[in-house]
Amino acid sequence: MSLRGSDITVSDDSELEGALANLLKSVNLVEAEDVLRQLAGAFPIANRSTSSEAEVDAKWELAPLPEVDARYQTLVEQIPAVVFLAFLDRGIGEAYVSPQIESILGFSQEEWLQDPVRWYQQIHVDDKARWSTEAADLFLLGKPLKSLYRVISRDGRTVWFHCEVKMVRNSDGGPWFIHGVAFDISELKTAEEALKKSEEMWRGLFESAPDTVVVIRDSGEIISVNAQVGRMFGYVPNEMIGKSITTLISDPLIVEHLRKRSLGPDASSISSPHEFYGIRKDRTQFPIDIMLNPMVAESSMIICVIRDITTRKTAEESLRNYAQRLKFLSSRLMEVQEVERRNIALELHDEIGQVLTGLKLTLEVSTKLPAEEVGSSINQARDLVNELMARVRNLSLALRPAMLDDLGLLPTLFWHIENYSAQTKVKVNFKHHGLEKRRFTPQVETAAYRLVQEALTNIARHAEVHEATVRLWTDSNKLSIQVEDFGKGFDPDGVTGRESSGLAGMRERATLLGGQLKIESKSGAGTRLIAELNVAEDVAGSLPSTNAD
Amino acid sequence: MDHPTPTTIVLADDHHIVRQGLRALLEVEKDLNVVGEAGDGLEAVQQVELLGPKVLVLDLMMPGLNGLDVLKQIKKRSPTTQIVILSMYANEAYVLEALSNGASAYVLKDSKSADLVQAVREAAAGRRYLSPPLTARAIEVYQERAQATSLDRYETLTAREREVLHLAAEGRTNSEIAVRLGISSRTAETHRANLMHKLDMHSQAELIRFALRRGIIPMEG
Repeated sequence: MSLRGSDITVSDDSELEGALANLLKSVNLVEAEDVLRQLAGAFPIANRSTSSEAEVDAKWELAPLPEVDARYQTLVEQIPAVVFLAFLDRGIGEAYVSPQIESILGFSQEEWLQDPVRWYQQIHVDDKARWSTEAADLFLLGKPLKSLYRVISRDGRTVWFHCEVKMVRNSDGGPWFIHGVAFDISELKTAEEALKKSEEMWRGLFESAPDTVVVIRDSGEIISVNAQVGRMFGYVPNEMIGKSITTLISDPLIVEHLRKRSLGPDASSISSPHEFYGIRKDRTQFPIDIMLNPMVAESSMIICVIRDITTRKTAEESLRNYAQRLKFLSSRLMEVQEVERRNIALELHDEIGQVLTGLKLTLEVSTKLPAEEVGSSINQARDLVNELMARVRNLSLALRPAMLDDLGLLPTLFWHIENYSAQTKVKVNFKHHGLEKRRFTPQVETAAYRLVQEALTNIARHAEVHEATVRLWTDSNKLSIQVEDFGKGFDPDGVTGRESSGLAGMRERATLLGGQLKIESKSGAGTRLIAELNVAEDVAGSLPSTNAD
Repeated sequence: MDHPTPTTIVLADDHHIVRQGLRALLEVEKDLNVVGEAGDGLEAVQQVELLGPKVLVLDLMMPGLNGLDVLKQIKKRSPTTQIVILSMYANEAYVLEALSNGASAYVLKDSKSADLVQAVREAAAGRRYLSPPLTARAIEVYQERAQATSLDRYETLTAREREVLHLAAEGRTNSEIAVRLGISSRTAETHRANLMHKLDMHSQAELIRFALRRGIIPMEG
């Protein structure tokens, strides 16, 4: 900074100090500029007889700084910085600024010195107030000024100056002159800004990463960690600094791996099949993936990226379960199909085949009979045909009652329960509510029918009772089924083999319809099967057709 | 001619051999005249509309449009045609369904041929006929049985819901119930909501009244 006020002569120091104090107190910047102009006008300089540039130039050439030796001037003008000086005892008129001003700001020495307020105008608007405060300390207290200012060049660029200014007092203690040097540090500043931006960008990236990112030493000591450590592990980032990475990762192998990594350059990610677990602050654990990357700039440091893979693991787990269930079901499907075929084959052979043989024999015999006996033989044949019809009908009903499609669930259950009781001698107490005249989707009707059928069959086989209760009730969304007995009971978790696959099949039926199945049983305390089927039309199950069972 | 206007009949059965048998059986009778045959439900509807017979002998089980559907359509399109159902099933539910959809007679396939002839004659005369062993009384009994039975709502509760009901009736909070049953209080809350829904109750007062009535909690504290 150069102070220049060619028109100021100072009659006494206190007058100057007062003027400077005024200047510095003026908060308003436009006001400050006015004060500077006034200062320039109030102290007219004696030797300023003309305003012509040539004369001014001449003045500088002819009258170099009186206090500065020419040798020093040369020296000063070779320093890659702006050196300036301004007298305070003889008005701000006498000043010096080194010629470097031109290459840095685009203003020539003369231009700079001619206008008494130029330098002040060129200070960046945001730095003016600060300059005033800092200059006050310099002028009034004599405290050296050491600060950064932005100055606007002629072509509008912002130039950063690092300024150091001192005030020198004369022998009687009054302000004599100030001198200082201003270094152009724009490049440094630009680099600093760029660094700051880059740092901000990386910090932003670091903090916004969905993973916990930890910077550690080879020893495992944590140097830095992002905010995700809070969400993922429950720690405040700061409390982790200095702790070991094994606070976060369960496996002692992690440190082992770090050591190995420090030997070879290529190890980066710890890959499966090894599974790692993270440890939360509350000691719970969760599955994680870890990526290790050595820091290029600081080879003893490692960036460790920890990803919570709970969701993935859960999905994998449920997929595995699903696959297992599918496998189980398809094997059960084949098993059931085989059993069913065997039964049908047996039935056809024993029930139908035998009667057909009888019928054939009867008819063959009748051809050899005398005419008057043919009648009774035909009657016999007709009885056999009727018997055949009954057997075929029963067989067909047992396979799948057409009634279920024709008439719906309730009549079919009546029919089934009647047959069941007749065959098994188990009396069924059948209670229902809301099913009269109500039809459900074929899937729901089939599932409900089969559930009741299977549950009753189980009772006849295992419960050792002579009574059972079937309850069905429905509201707009759900069909509830309860089949209950007070027989032997069993441990639902202890069933194996055929029985367990039967229960699984029942559960599957309910699940397919968005429902559920529960079995309450205790050894000796009977069994209660409770199924709820979703009957809303839009969740029609994934059974392709009614014939799928 | 004993009968100047014999009863016109259309036969509907998906088996040719059965239709042949039926035709032979009916045409022996002088007063009956088979005027058409149909091999499936759709054809039956068309034939009846085309020929306007007095009686349709209809197999209940047919591919395409089944017997019950045919029945409903014909009652709409040709109301003067009387329908005799021929069925394998003696089940009351079927009989009831057929009769309530406008069938005049229900004949079992394994009944005597005379039953069918009688059924056709009765139907033509506008009367009902059920071939033995079917009886009108059995149908009525079935109809009564199919009415909704009263369902004790308490019985629809699961064992867990019953436990929760007992504790809730004693005035326990969800968290007390949870501790007692070793379940989470959220689960206890769900059980309580479910049982309230099943019992159609909406307040603690209703729950207590129900519990008192059922003797779940004693009348005196």
